[in-house]
Amino acid sequence: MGFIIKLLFEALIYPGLLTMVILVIVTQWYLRKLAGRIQYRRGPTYTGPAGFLQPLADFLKLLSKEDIVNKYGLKYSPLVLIVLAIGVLITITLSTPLAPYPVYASYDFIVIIYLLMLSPLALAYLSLSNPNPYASIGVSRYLALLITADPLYMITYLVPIIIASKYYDAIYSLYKTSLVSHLIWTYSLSSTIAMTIGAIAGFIGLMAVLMVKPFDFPEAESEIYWGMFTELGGPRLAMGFFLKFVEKIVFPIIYVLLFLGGTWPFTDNWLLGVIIIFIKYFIVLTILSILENSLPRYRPDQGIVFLWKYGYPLAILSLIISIYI
Amino acid sequence: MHGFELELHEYIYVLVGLSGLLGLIIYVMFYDLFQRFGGRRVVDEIDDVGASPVMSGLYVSRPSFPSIKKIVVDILNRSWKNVSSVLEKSAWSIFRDWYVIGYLILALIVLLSLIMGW
Repeated sequence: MGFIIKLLFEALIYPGLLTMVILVIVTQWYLRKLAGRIQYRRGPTYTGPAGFLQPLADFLKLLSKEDIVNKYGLKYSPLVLIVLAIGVLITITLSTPLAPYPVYASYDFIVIIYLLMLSPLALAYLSLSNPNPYASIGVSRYLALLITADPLYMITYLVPIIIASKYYDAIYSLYKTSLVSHLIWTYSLSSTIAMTIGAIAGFIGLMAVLMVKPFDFPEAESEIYWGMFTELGGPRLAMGFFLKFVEKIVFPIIYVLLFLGGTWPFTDNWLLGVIIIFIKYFIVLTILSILENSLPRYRPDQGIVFLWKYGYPLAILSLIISIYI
Repeated sequence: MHGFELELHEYIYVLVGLSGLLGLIIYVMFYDLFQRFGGRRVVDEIDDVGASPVMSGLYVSRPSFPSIKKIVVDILNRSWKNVSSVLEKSAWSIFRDWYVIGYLILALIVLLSLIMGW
């Protein structure tokens, strides 16, 4: 009984739904302020102190609109898939050191990889559910990007998992690996090389999966209106944005846990460990945002060539080193 | 603090179950409730195009659907340039070759032997 109550508390309150909604508001406010500063604007200022509640106001405004689906559109199935994908991403945080009582199992990372794949699929399905030529082009670009970027991203995440399981008995688990990920860096020269190369390739993969510039060609506002999101509006756009923003929280946190040492240097204190994870997360987010606002956009084929040319060799090399050390 | 180490199948049940529960809560909280109380259609509203496709401000009877497969293949072809045509040709030449037929016959014999219990 205690197990179920703890699980429900974690899923609904911390680090689950409520925390994720607050985090979405905080990160969106932070990203918009940062983008504003980079572009010589002030960012949100009107709603709440320093415009802090602007993302919440935008979200509530979209949710309160009438849900319009044209006669060629799908009504319920995209919504079901999108809420399920949001639920999956939130549930994955229960397998991280953020949770007071983490849930884990041997080989759980394989399950997590499968579950992480659901959110891009849900986004593509939601975009296609209201047909529009620009949305179709955007989704085509998104699928081409995913076919290339997702394997790259997942290969790099296997590097710390494999090394930690070989030498620190991490049983191919995300939680157990994140507890020892700081030790992997210094286990041997080969592991340092594998982790360095893997971290670089993983960051490139992270940028591509999150559609951070120069990989934002599925949206491409100036070319194809708004690409994937062209035909979405009201609550559907709100749900799509919610999923995309939760992706921007969960994916970088996994990167922090596996490549940036997780709770290190506070491995013995849970609370300090959680705080340090969030500090590292905000550093990664800041770097992503600066890149987003400084780089131009690739053409779809250029972006894919970049991933094949620079991402894959690094990812495969780090994987081979991690297998044979 | 200590976590809960589960068997893999229990872990999958827990993750999928909680995902479903959270999905349901999100649907009810953020979609259903808002649509019931906030996003209701005004009853007297005259709406000729509400459920019809409108593109670039113009009413269209049927939207065009570009082929997603064609665009994806085109993007991948452009990114691979010569490599894709070489791969296509070589893949086709391998597929046409005699030993593929040999493999198929071998697979058929193995399948037959399993079925017949030889």
